[in-house]
Amino acid sequence: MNGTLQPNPAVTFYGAVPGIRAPMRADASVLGTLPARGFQYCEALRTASSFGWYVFPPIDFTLQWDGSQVLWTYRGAKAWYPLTSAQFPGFAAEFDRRAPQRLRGFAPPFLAAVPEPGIVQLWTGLFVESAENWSILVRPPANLPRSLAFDLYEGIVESDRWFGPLFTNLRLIKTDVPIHFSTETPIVQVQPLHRSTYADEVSNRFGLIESLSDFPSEAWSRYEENIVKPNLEPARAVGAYAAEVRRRKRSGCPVHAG
Amino acid sequence: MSKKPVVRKPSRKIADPRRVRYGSSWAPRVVRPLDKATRDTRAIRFGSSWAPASLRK
Repeated sequence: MNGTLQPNPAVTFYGAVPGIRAPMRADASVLGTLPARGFQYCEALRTASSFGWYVFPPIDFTLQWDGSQVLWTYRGAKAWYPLTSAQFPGFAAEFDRRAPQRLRGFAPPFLAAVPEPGIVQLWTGLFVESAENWSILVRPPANLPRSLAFDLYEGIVESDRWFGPLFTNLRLIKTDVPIHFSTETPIVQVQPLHRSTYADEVSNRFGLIESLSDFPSEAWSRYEENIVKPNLEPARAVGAYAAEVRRRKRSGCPVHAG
Repeated sequence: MSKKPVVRKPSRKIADPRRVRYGSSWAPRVVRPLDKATRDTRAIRFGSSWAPASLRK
């Protein structure tokens, strides 16, 4: 696995399965799948899309669910196998070679079918840790068209306090069809979250102005500035918001949207 | 008098080796109970969905 270490990164990935694709910075163009207009002019779309890192499956594999049992196979396998829990091919021996003696025999499973029907846990082949007070949100890749055959649960992990395998939970939807997972398509997007941003104190309260008649004059002024004036411009520049956000980023302001 | 319908053997042009199937007609052809390369002892499980160690079979 290749990677460039930066001083004090918010999140550090540890490659455990040999030879897997390294995580990559999430992409403003969503791997080239965004409409050109959105990519060029919609900074909101670009920012959400490029927030965090893509993580890929460690091997090409296929699941098939009949509504009760999950079968699986993988690149190089000669057959399908009923899925209970499975190691990454050949990984248990590699783990035992590298791990301290007391930890031998404790390699994390690659895939596991949990008791709930159609739910499968998938280990990415990575371990993860984050800087103090930073968590990770593990979620489907933002704005990447999703498979209709499965869905992903999202989870927030306090990875500064919990060091372990970076895994996700899949919910299989389609039955009796093969559902393919490729090492070339990211399976999850990992986003760093400072714990203060999702604290209960933040989520438990929010402001509300109940009607137009209650809008303060400052709100009307901002509406005029952001929305009305640009619409009155005879030659309105496209992507003005995007240009302004990028200009602030270039200026080095740490809270560029402030 | 109408002609009899002609019944022919399947044409080579539309013969299919059934190597490719899609939709619900697709099914794994070889299912084996065990794969040595991926055998898991179940010593490690993560997430909250697992039973306590004392209840595991």
